[in-house]
Amino acid sequence: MSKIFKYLILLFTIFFINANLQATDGYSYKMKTIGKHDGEVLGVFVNWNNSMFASCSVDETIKLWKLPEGKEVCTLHGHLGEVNNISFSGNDKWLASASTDQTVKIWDVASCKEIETLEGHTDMVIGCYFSQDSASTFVASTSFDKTVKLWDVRLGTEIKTLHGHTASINNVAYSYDGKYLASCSDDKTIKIWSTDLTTKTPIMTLTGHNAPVLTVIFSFDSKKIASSDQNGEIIIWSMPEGKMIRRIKGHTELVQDVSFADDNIRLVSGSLDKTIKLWDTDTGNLLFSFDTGNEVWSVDLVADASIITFGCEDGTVRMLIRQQEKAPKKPVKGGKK
Amino acid sequence: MKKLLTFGICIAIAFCLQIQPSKAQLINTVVSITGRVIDEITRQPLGTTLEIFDQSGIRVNRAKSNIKDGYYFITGLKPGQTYIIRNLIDFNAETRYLNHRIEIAIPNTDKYSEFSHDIVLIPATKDLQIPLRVSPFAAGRSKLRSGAEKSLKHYLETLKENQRIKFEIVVFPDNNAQASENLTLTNQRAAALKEFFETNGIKSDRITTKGNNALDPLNPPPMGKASKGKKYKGTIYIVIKNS
Repeated sequence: MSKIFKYLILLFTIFFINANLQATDGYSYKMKTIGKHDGEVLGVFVNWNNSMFASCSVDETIKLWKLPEGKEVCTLHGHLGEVNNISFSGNDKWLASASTDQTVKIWDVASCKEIETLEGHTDMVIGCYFSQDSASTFVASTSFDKTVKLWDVRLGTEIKTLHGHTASINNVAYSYDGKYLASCSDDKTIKIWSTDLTTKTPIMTLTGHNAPVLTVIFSFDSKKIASSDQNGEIIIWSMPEGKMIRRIKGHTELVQDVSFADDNIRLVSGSLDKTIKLWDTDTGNLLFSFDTGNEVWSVDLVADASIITFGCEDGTVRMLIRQQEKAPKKPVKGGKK
Repeated sequence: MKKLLTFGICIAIAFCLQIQPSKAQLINTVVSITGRVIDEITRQPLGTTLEIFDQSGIRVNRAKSNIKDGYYFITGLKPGQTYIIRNLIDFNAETRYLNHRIEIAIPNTDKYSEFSHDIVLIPATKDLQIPLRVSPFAAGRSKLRSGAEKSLKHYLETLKENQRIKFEIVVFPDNNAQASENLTLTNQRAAALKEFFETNGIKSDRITTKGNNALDPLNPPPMGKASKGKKYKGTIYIVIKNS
């Protein structure tokens, strides 16, 4: 009897530890809720120097948070619709936000004040991405109006509109070498565009997804693209060839957000199946999985992957904080930077 | 005397500053606008003629959009100026389009630049259903949400520019839960939109309204979980009632 009792205690202990610290191959994280929006958190974005991250929500606001403590800095009001995505500029001075109110807004991070509103899309704006050079002159945005627009932030005006997708466009990413834009769409394709101001046709179209493609992102060396879709599949592509390297069927529900670590190998994904997963994109191996207990709408990483920030369906903004430090193979920086 | 001299110098400097043309004016900088003309419903490119006016109403340019890709190119515009672009109605065209007027403010710049702006035209077709791209209501609410006037501006401006057009506001519910409640809600939403248009200068005899108690058969809710921006909201149409 006492043996059975001891066995049950042991099982319970294992179960308890597993619920809090889920570890695979040395990746152990503990979850912390740091604050709350009044609705789904549709985007999180860690800045370049990992001192801050931003979250945006259907509650029409953006919040800035200090890292690593996760303390709220300020709330940005101004959009008149859901804020669907956000992006810090490469110099960390500004933040761009994309909204259902059909606009992109540029915010000054230091003062938490709106700088300008970019108008021109004719349907809700879903994605935005700041150029990651130190000047941070340009912002790209995507909309359900099936266009990608490039904006000059200094002039506050639209300088290029890209047509080619045949359905709503969900997201956009700038390559870190500044040469390319990638956009993904309900037409199940990813299109690669040149950032030069004269070329207006896509350089190539990546096909392989069997469902609407929800997000796309470049690795920091601009040699890989990761994309995720409505069926929960992630595909890794090589750049500039545009060849499919790997398919990862990692989630049972749609994957709304993915983000590369600075080693250009690890990729974090967040899904409405309530899990966050960390992948080795070279092997396709799952490094770590965490059941958050709530639908995950957005995810990003900070330096050395010691913190994963994410936003949930219940409005909470949360962090996964690494518990056991195993020395990584090489120093890493992380995030959609 | 010294004071008078200083005052005179000040006046002279102020005068010089006032008549000093901007750098852009000195070097006669011009900028261009380019973009596509597309159909509001099909999103297909359109070939049409555009006229460009300055703020005093003088036509400064005319351009044609390419029928194959809808591209237009307008040049010779001055930095810092605001222009009005109108489409010229082609009465011989297979599909006619409503009058459209847009105002474009050109940023100040010292070098030649090309700016982009797409122009969306609404077909002038009887019984055409024009869906509102962004719902002006929050889920379950019948009051226009804050900022709804921005998303309705495009439709309001077009209706103002086409005084002879009569139209119906048709509203479908967000779900199929309670038919009677749905009808009440959609009637209230239609009334709120009618009030918005009337308040903003559209005559009430041009507008009729219609609520519905069941989901829009042309736009049913998606199966499975919806991704970002696709949370289902009842469709709202502006239906043109005369050609």
